[in-house]
Amino acid sequence: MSEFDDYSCIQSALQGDDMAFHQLIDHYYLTVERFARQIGVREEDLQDVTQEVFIKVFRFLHKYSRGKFSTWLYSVTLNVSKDYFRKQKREKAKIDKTINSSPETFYTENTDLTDDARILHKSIQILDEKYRVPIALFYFQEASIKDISAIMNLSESTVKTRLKRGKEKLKASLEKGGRMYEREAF
Amino acid sequence: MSEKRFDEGIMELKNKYNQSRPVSSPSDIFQAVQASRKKTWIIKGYGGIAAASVCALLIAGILIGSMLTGNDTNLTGEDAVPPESGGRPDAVLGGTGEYDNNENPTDEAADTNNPNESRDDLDVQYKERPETISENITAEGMEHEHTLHLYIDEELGYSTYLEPQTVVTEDIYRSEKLIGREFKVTDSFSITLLVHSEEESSLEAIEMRTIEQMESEGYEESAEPYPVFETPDRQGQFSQPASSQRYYALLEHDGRVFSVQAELPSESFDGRFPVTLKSFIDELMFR
Repeated sequence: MSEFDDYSCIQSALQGDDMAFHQLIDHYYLTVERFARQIGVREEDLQDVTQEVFIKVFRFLHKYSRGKFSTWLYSVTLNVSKDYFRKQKREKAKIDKTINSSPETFYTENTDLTDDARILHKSIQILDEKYRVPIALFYFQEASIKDISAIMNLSESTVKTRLKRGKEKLKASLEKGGRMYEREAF
Repeated sequence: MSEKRFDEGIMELKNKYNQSRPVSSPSDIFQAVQASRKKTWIIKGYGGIAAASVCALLIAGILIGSMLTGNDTNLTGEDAVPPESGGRPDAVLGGTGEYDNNENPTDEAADTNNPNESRDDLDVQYKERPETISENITAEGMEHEHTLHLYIDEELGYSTYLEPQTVVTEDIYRSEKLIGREFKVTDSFSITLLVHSEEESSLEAIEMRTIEQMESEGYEESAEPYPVFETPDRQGQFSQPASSQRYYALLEHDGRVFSVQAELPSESFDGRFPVTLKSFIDELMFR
């Protein structure tokens, strides 16, 4: 969908055209769901998070005025996901008070991935949020530095720094994981 | 380690993500959106138990927490700027102070285009907003319009909406890393805004400190927050039986964390204040 089509759909939706908003959902729900997955939302929560994103988009569509719609959409998705992470963290803390250990939940559909891809996936999921989000946007969503800057409300230089440091951490993790697998092979 | 190995792993992962079976359905999403449209502001009647303004208590808690965690936040003596009540919700505050972004960019990162260029539009946008907004409130079966006025804080670079008679105290305290504002809506209801530099603390650390402070004072996190704020990066509601509800909302913007806190006495649930608080937070727009 071109920017012009986005604009037309949004204008129609703002004027009460439900079908126009449905078209926005049709076009963007996969983007939202994939991005949420990439930044660590669990599989069982993806549906709720995706719905919540579009509820917020609908409520605040009048606040979106210029710039790329996708940039704003990523920003909304990020905020909804962060709120979800906070709730998840609080729930986990409560569980940990009564149960000593709580196993980490990872995206489990990775059985056919190579070792390197699996290590990268796990490493990204446990990266600090400040690195995880720009990594997901840059490498998986093909967002530009300028777009990430707008999505995360950060300067472009800060985005570059976080990408650089995040990549270094992932490469280090990959290297460590690689050695581990080599040792296992022997 | 070779770039090629990293790139290949990332590419494989990207393909895997893109091939993943969707778990959401556009029609279900649309139905959820439709259901959400029917929500209107219905003022809850929780009964009245008087409670005094607790703004000072909130701030003290935050500061004690901040000092306990070793942050350099001196709010006593000469650093505490005497309150200056602006008193006009539509006042445009003076000043130019801004925090630095302390991400310590690398040489590579520093070699970039001027990021401020792309923010020119936002600079204007956060100030060029409607002078008033209105919310429809239904209380005891009667609907009436609740009008809020634009408030622009040029020094800290944000705008939002406030009730007309709100008294603004620009510097309830000020240090290099932390600036506080108080918005006194009435004697029993105030909103506090704290702006932390990124150097002062991370979003996560500020949230944990806020929660620990509330819990240490006997508050428990509420299962069903009301009102639910739409825009913050973090939010929470805590309650104390037969007393009041405390709220916090954290918003990260360009390396700074904006922390909004407020306490609603139980009696205030039967009024307009939840709407005022929600609008203050959800309408925050940054430079």
